[in-house]
Amino acid sequence: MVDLAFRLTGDAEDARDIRQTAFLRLLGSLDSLNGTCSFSTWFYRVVLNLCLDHRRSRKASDKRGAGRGADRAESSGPSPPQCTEQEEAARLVAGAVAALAPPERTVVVLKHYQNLTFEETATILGLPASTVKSRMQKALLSLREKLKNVEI
Amino acid sequence: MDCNDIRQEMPAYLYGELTGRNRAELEEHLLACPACREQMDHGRSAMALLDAWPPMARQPEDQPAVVLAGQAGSMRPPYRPGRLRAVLMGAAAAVLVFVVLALASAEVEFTDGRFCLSFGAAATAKTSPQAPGNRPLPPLIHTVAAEVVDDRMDQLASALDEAFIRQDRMQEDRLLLLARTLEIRRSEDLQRFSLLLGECTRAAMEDTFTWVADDSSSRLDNLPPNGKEETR
Repeated sequence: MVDLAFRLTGDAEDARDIRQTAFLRLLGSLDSLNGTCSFSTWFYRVVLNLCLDHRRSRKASDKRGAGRGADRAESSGPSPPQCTEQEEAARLVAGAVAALAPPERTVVVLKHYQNLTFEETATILGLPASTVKSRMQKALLSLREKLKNVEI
Repeated sequence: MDCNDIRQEMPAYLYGELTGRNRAELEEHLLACPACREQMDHGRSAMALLDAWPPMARQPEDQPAVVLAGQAGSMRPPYRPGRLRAVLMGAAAAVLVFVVLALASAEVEFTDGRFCLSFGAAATAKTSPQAPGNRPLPPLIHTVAAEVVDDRMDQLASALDEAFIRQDRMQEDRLLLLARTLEIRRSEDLQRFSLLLGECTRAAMEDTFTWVADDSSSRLDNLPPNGKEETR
């Protein structure tokens, strides 16, 4: 879960905060677990909503000039001269994922990094599976275009 | 299937989720359509690129899902850890008491800061704690519960976290059970707690009990003779 939050927020500290908040929300919301969806689905939604709130508040603080930069995932790694090739590739991929449109980024993180099926991803997001696949296709082509010079 | 249909299904194909006739049709189309083949190659290389971004490095403070009281000051959580500790202690105490009750076919009441057991007809008659047939639970139970929780809190927290990471269904059920026990804020709710436990499977309850207090049984065996006799 902390990895999900990390990939969506691009910041390890924020990801840990989100995890903490999600657990507290879990303990406070047991009554809402009424069997209408599985526990996993419910919990994924909690984390995704927290990440969404986080993104909104970060946007607001960036607007006020107090932000820590628009793209944390890209800036969170070591600076390029100190990177190995592998680290540099990871930094570029993280940056490219962070630069995707939020709906596409969410699909990529759930599908590729959380290793969910398209059906599971669609259930969590409340979308048709066909929409999830379209977003994934668009995201993959966009990533390929942005990273075409990256050697792995 | 035309090119649009094929491209719609490409991600499912790349992730091995396209089967049967649809898969065969897509593969057949790819043989005849260079444009779709190129898109498929791009998708495949993008997937490989995504793998270059490793998971977030785990740090020692990531191990417990919830950082608990009594740990190093730098790891002290921003919320009130004492509350969680108290809740966990209550939960573990309740689990211990419940198991004792299950053995003794008895009921429990919490009166004047002490657990009291009622046996047989006395239980159904809801007699007062001082009446014959009622006996305060041996104080050692409290001591054992507190010690067990002290020993187990970190493991519980880690296990909660791991359940989510592994997405293990059984573990999730176990987590739910534990989370439900955490609903018990005060020991006065013991009766409600036993009802909640009754909803859960026996196996889950046994697992949880083993998990929470697996090294307490030997200590329970050392209860004073009176207490041991009364609880069986």
